[in-house]
Amino acid sequence: MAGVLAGMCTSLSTHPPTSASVSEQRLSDEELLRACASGNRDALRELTHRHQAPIYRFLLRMMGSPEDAEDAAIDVFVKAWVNAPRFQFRAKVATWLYRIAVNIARDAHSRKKGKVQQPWPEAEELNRMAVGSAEDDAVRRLDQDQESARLHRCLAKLSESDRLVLVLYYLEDREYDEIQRITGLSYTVLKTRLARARRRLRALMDAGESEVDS
Amino acid sequence: MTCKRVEWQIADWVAGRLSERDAQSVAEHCRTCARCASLAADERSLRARFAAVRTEDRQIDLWPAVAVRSSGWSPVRRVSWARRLVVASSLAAVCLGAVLAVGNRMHSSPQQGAVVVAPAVDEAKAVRLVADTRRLPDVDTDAMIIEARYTAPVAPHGSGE
Repeated sequence: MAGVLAGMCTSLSTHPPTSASVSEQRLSDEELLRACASGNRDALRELTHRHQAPIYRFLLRMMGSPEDAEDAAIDVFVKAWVNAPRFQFRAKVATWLYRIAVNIARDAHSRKKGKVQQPWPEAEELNRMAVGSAEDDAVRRLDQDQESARLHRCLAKLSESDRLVLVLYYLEDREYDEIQRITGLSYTVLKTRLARARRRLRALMDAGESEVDS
Repeated sequence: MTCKRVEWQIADWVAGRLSERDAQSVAEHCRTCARCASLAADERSLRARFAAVRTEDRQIDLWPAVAVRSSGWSPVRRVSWARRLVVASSLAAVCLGAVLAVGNRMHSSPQQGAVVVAPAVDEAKAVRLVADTRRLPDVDTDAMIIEARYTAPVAPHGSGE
C-alpha cells in the first residue's frame, strides 16, 4: 500500500526529479522531459536510451544512410534537450520526438536535393537488422532479404512525403491520430495521401517485377 | 456499402483497424464484389512485403554523441504569455507617462497670479498703471490694463527688436 501511495505521489509530483531519482526509478517520459527542462542531464541520458532505437530505425527508413540516420538521431535528442521547457505536454513525448525527427529528415532531404544521392536504402544495413529466427532456412531468409531490398528501392523512389506516410503506417504501425500529430496532416488529407502513396508504390513494384521478368 | 466507401476503408480492414461493424460490412461487400476483393488481395500482398522488413531494435548507443553535442546547450525557457503581457504593459505605461509629461510641459499655463503683459506693451507704463491702482482702489484696474495693452504703440516691422 505504502509503495502504491509512494508511486502515486511520484507520478503526481510536479517537481522535476533529481539526478539520483532518474537513475534509480523508472520515470515516465513526461517526468523525464520535465527533468530535462530543469537541466537534468541524467534525464536526457535516460530519454536517449529509451527512444534511440525506434528513432534511429525510423530515420534510417526515411533517410537510407546509417551515417545520416545516426547523425539525425543525435540531433533529435539535442533538440529535445534544448526545447524541453517549451513542450506543452499536449501530445506524447514519443510523438514529439518523431515530429522532431521528421523535421530533421525533411531539412536533410532538402539540403541534399541538389546533390547526387547514394543508392538508397542501405539494404545491407536493413537486412542486418531484419527479423529472423535461428530456425529460418537460408533460402527463406535470402528471399526475404531480396524482397526487403526491392521494397526499399521502390520506397526510395517515392517523394519524401509519400515515403513518410507509408513508413509511419506500415513499418512503424502508428495509429492515424498519431500520424496526424507527427505529420501535421488532417485525417482526410492523410488518408488521401496514403492511398496515393500506396498506388505509386504498387506501380513501382509492378514495374520492377516486370523488369526482372523480362 | 459502395465500392468507393470500401476502397476508402480497405487498407484499414486488412490491417484490422476497423470497428467490428465496419469490418463486417467490408467483408460482406468483398464477398460479392470481385474488384474490391482484388483490391483487398493487393493490400494483403503489400502488407506482407512490409511485414518482411520489420526490423529489430538495433543495439545502438547514441548517448556519448548526444552528451558531447548537447553540452554546449542548455534548455531554453519559454516566456509565458502572462509574463510577456506584464512586460509589454509596463513598457506601454512608461511610454504613455513620458508622452504625457512632455505634453504637460509644452502646454503648461504660466504661474497663477502673474500679470501677463503683451510684448508690445510698454512695461514701464503697465507698472505705473498698476501702481496707480493701488492709490485709486475705485478704479477698474483690469480695464485700465486692457486699455494700456491695446493702445500701446505697435513696433514697426523689422525694427530690430
